[in-house]
Amino acid sequence: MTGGDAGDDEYRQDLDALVGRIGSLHPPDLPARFASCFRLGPESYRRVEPVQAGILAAVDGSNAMLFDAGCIAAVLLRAAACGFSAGARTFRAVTPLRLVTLGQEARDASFSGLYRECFGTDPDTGIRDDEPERTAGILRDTLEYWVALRAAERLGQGDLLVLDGALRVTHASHEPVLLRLIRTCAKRGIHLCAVTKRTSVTWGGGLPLVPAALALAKAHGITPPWVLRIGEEGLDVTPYRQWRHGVPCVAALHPRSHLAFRIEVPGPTGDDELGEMVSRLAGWSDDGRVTGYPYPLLDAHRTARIPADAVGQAKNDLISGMARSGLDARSARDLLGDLHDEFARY
Amino acid sequence: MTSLVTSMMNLRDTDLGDPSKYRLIGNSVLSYRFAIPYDETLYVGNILKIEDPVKGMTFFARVTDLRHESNFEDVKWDLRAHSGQFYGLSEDVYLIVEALPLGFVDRNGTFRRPRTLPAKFSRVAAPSAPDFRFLEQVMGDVEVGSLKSGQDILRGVTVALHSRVMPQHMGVFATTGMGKSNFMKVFCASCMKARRFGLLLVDPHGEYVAGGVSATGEPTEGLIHYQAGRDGLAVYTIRDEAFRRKYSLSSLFLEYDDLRAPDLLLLFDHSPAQRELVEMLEDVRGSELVDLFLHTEFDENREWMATTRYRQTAEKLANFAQGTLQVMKRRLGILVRSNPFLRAKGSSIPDILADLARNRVVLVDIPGMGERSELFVLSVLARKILDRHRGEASGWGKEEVPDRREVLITIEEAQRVLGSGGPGTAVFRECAMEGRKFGVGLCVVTQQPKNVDPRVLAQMNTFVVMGLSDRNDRAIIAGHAKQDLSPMDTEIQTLEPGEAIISTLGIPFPVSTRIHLYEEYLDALNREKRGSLGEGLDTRF
Repeated sequence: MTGGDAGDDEYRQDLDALVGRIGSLHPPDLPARFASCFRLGPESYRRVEPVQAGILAAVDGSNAMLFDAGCIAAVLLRAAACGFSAGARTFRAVTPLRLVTLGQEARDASFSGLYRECFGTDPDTGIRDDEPERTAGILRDTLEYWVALRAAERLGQGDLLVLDGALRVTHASHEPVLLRLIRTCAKRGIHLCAVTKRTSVTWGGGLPLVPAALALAKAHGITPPWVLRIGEEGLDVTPYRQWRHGVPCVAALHPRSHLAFRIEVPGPTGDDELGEMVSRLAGWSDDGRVTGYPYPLLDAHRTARIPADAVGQAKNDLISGMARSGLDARSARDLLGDLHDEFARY
Repeated sequence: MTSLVTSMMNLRDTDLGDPSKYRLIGNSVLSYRFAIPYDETLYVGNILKIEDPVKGMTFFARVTDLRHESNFEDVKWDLRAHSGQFYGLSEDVYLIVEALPLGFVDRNGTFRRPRTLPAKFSRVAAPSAPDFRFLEQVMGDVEVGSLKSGQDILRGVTVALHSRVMPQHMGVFATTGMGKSNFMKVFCASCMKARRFGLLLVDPHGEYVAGGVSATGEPTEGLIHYQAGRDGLAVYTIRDEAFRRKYSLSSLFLEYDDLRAPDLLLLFDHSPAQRELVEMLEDVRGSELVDLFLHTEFDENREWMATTRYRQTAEKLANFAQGTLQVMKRRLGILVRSNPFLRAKGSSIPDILADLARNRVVLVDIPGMGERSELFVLSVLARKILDRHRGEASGWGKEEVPDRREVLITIEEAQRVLGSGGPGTAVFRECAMEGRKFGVGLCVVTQQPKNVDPRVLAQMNTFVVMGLSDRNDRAIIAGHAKQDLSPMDTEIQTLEPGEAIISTLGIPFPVSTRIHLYEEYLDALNREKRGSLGEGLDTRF
């Protein structure tokens, strides 16, 4: 089966349910409900002027699964930082491409080894390493935080460091690292924020945050760029508060873009500083390719990205390495038997 | 155990330079490809060099196409842009250059055809005039212009045709206003200078002898103004005595015996019966034809046959209807009356043939005479030249023949006489098909090559293409040139007046040429003491 069979009743019912669920995320009275829930008015939106001042550095990381044979998996990782000033890139730095085994943390110490390489200490908390995708994400975050710390060293008073994601860790071992980053930035007068391309934060019983902020802005005739602080009391999910160090906001960064993002800034950030940071984000969000998204983040993403040909090359290297070690191709295939590649051919 | 190395993690600054541009990434010996910055200025026709330090070779290639490309997976990214700002665009957006290999200079400095290709990632660079020294090895002795590279010319790098190739037929293809007359004058002047073969040119517009007015209204100079090469020019004209004396020109005369009946086929439309009559009279002397037809009243009862003194010819005419004979009479009358240079006795043709044999440019100047006169003169002269060379049968390419004579006959608007049919064009077709054997070549000038018999085009070894807007014309040319011109289609389309693509034997690749402006060339020729024109000229790129 290559798609839904519209002839099956069950399929049609599932489809109807999905359509209804999606429709419920955007009720007709969304702006009013959103305004009421968070006690927002037009004055809550802070208009900003796009500016490019100082250096804006962005950090992003990437991971790509090399193979997943159940008992063992391997992932490719890397992270990058890009700095921009006066309309052009001033630096671009990237970690080496790393190849890490997953699924046997107790034996391989992949995470703790990487953590030690990055921060010189063992992590306070180990990982269960029973879900390769999740473990790969934690490893990628490890690299990203380390790169963010290195990038902060290149910045000075008044510069802005932008992370891809949130000021919230997904693993306890990253808590001291994020705190160290926040303190380093504060100590050196560097502005810090995080921009999330996709957020799970909801309010009002499952309504997404960003579309609601956009709808209310539209209802009030407020055109980007703007930033809106969100009161935490209206948010839905309790786990969201775990390991959280950022104040949630929503920002739209370009008048000709429909995009808006959840951004987070460290807790004590005042309105003026928030406005200044969003001004700088807006100042770099006018690129014609992804208008409304800070270009330095796009650049960091593209620098860190692990494209399919790199994954293919790593697979070839792996096969070559196994051959050199005396493992024939058939045995290697038996050991690593992942049929997904085989399936993908059809 | 850990799968990770135990050294500290490192963060490397990536190279902010851009090594991806101007390096060869193509994969074929037939075409080169490389990227340049998206905002770089490069033109179709630019000649570039590719240096291969590994092999010690310098390759040359001509740009045939330029197109925008990017590394983005979304091929329509440029249509979706929401703002005019693009950061770091040059890293992912670039121009891909397609280039046609021209050849390479080996370690010994010898130019060779492109049968191999440069090493991957060989650097591509703009050449300078000294890089083209190898062209001096391959250029000929009939200079026509300067080598063009894109929008610029390479000063000091002249384009010169090989005189030994010229009588192997030459085609000059240009639409109106592209500088065809200027080219012909430059070509004539170089022929006057080189004196390597005779060149015949019939000019019904009177613009070549002393100049005239160009298509843009500018006064132009003529061949007689090339004083230093004057001995290489012979002019036969119908102009008045004062003009002839002023410039020391000869009078043009043809006599009746120069005429042959088939000449009429070229000048008039003929019914089958009329054509049969003409063919019947093919061997009859012109003087007899004129006397018989112009002084005979062809009556219905054929009484004229009893009184004529041309009994033998009259017998041939016995079976033709009175009307057919009267048409013939009328047409001969038109021919005699409308060509004042045609007379009973006394012809310039022996002198013309002698001048051609002396490798002069022979200009037949018949201003105001009309198309019929032009074609008549051309037909008579072509036949006489071909007959003379056939008779001498000295042959081409025989090195042991000490004094072989070579003549190039220029036919303007050649589609009139070298189309795909008509017995009236037999003499020109013979020149095209057999002339090379006898040292007779055609310089076919036309703006409609598609209307020239393809078999004639196939005989040509030199193509001078000066801009053809018609796709079919370009396809015809590309299909018949000895060198592949199809990759230069874009360049041919974008040729400007005075520019040409020249494909000829002896020069190993088609050369893009800026034809000299005749007046400037003339000035240089007249000032020339000795040595080549390139000496002392600016050699900067």
